[in-house]
Amino acid sequence: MNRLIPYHLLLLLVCIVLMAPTTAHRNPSQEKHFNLIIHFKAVVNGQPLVIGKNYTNPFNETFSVEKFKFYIGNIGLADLNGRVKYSYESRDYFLIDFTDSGATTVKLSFTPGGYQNISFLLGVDSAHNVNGAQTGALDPARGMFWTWNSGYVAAKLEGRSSQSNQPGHAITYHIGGYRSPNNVAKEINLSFPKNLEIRPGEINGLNIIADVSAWFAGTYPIPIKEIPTCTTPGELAKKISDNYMKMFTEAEVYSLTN
Amino acid sequence: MVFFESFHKKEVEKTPTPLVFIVPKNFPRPHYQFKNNPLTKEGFELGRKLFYDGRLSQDGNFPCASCHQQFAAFATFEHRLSHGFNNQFSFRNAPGLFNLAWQKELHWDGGINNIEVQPLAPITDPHEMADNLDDIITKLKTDPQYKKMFAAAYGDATINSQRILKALAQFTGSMVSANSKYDKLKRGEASFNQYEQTGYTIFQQKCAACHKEPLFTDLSYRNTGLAVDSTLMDYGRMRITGRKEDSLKFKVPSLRNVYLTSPYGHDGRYNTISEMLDHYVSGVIKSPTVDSLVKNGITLTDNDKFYLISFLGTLTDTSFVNDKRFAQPQ
Repeated sequence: MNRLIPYHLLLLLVCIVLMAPTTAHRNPSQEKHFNLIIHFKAVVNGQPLVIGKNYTNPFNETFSVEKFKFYIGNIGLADLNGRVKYSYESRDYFLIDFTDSGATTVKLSFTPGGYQNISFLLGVDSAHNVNGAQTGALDPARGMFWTWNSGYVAAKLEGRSSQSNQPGHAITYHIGGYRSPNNVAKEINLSFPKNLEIRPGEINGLNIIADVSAWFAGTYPIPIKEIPTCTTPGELAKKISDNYMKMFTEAEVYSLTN
Repeated sequence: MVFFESFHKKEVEKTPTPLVFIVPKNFPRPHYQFKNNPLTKEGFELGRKLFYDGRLSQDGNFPCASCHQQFAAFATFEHRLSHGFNNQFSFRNAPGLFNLAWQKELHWDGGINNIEVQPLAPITDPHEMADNLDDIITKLKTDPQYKKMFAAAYGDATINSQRILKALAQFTGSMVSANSKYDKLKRGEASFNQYEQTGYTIFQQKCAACHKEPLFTDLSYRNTGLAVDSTLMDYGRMRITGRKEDSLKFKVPSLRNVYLTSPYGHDGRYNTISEMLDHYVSGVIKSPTVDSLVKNGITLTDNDKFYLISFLGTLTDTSFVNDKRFAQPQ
C-alpha cells in the first residue's frame, strides 16, 4: 500500500499537468522558451479600453467598442546598429484580440543583446492573402477572411453609437484589401524610450499601447455619423488604415526578472 | 477519455500515394500547381467524400454536389439559379466544374483568388450551404471514417479548415475535361462531319477571340451587353475591384460541355444556345463598359447558328461526366 501511494500521486500530478487547459488559438511556439513578452494594451484617448463602456471620439461622438482585433506579423527588433533581427517565431502572424485576454500577448525568444526599436507588419502581406488555405492565426475559421472577395481583414473594430444610422446603431469597420493602390498593410516602427536589454536567463516585457481614437481622425476625418461602416477593400478602407496606423503611441520596456 | 486518445498515437501504416496531374496535350501550363498541397490518392479521396457530404451544409441537404452535378459537367442541371438553404436561391448560375487548375481566379466576378479558399463562399453563404467552419469540423470529428481518412491523407487524425480545404482542392483541381470530340480531332483521333467543320470555321471567326481555344475562354472579364436584372442588381467584377470600368463585366465562361450546362449567362437567363446567340445578333445593350468585340452585334445567319450549335456539340466530354473517379463515393 505504501509503495502504491507515491505512484498514484505521480500519475495524478502527470494527469493534472497534461490536462492543463490549452486554447486552440495559442501558437505552439508560446509553450517554448521565451525571453520577451509583448503585451498589447488598448486605450481610448488614454483611458484603458473596457468592452461595452462609453467613450467620446475626436468628433465628440459617444461610442462603445464590442470587438477590436488586428493581425500583426514579422516582428523584428532593431539592434543598436539599426540592424533588424528576427526570431523564427517572430516571423509568424498573430491575431491580437482585445475581447480575448489570452490573445493580447505575444511571447518570443530573441538573441541576447541591446535593441532600440520594434517593427512589425500591421495586417497581412499580399503573399499570404493569395496563398490559399492557411492555419494558425491565419485560419479562415478565425472570422478574419472574406469569403466572396478572397482576402484577410487586417483590422476589425465593431461597436455601437447613437450617431450610427445602421441597424442596431452599429459601427462596423472591417478593414482589408491587398491590391494596389489600396493595400492596407502597414509597417509599424516604434522606438523604445530606453534600450531593451535582453540578457541570458532574464525575461523582458514590452507594452505596446493602441489608441482606438486614431481610427476616427489619425489622418482623415472619419466621423461615425457620416461613415459608420466600411466592410470592403478600396479607397475608404485605405484611408481608415492610414488613420489607425497611428494608433500605436508608445512601447514601454520593463524587466520581468527581479 | 481525451487524455488517453492524445497519448495513443496511431501508427500510420503507409505514406500517402502520390498522384500525377497530367496536363493535356495542347493545354497551357496550369495556374494552380498543387504546390503546398501535393496530390495524393488519399487527399483526393478525402476531397471527394467531402464534396458529396451534406454535413458541409447547415441542414445536411446541400453538399457541394447538390449544385455541382456530374451529369451536368458539375453545373446545376436546368436551373437558372441553384437551390440553397431554407428555400432560397444562389445569386448566380452555378458554372460547370472542369479545368479549374487553369483559372487564375474563380467565380463569375473573379472574387476568389485561390482554388483552396473557394469553398468558403458557398459554405458560409446564408442562401447556399449556410454553415461555418467550426460547425463543420465538429460534425466531421464525430465520424470515425473521416478520422481514418484525414490520418491517411495527412499523417494524423487532426481535422482543421486547412486540411478540409486542401483536400477539396485536390478533388476539384483534378477535374480535367480534355477528351471531347474536338480534343480527339486535335489529336488526330476523330474527324468532324461537314456541319461541325463549318461550325468550327465560323466559331474561329466570330467567337474564338473571347472563347479562346483550348480552354474556350481567355479568362478575361467582359461586358457582353446583358441588361441588368433589376431583381439581382448584379454589377459583376466591379463588386470585386471597386472600379467603374469593371461595371457589368463577367468572366468569359468556358464553352466546354456547353450542351450540358444550360441555362446560360451569369444568371442563367438564356435557356438555349440559340437564345444566347440571338442575344449576340440583336440583343446587345451598349452601356459604357460594353465590350468592343460585341458592341455592334455579331452577324449570324440562321444557317450560321445551326452550324455553330453543331460545332459546340463537339465540346461535350462524355468520358468526363462518366468518370467514376469523380462520381459519388460508394
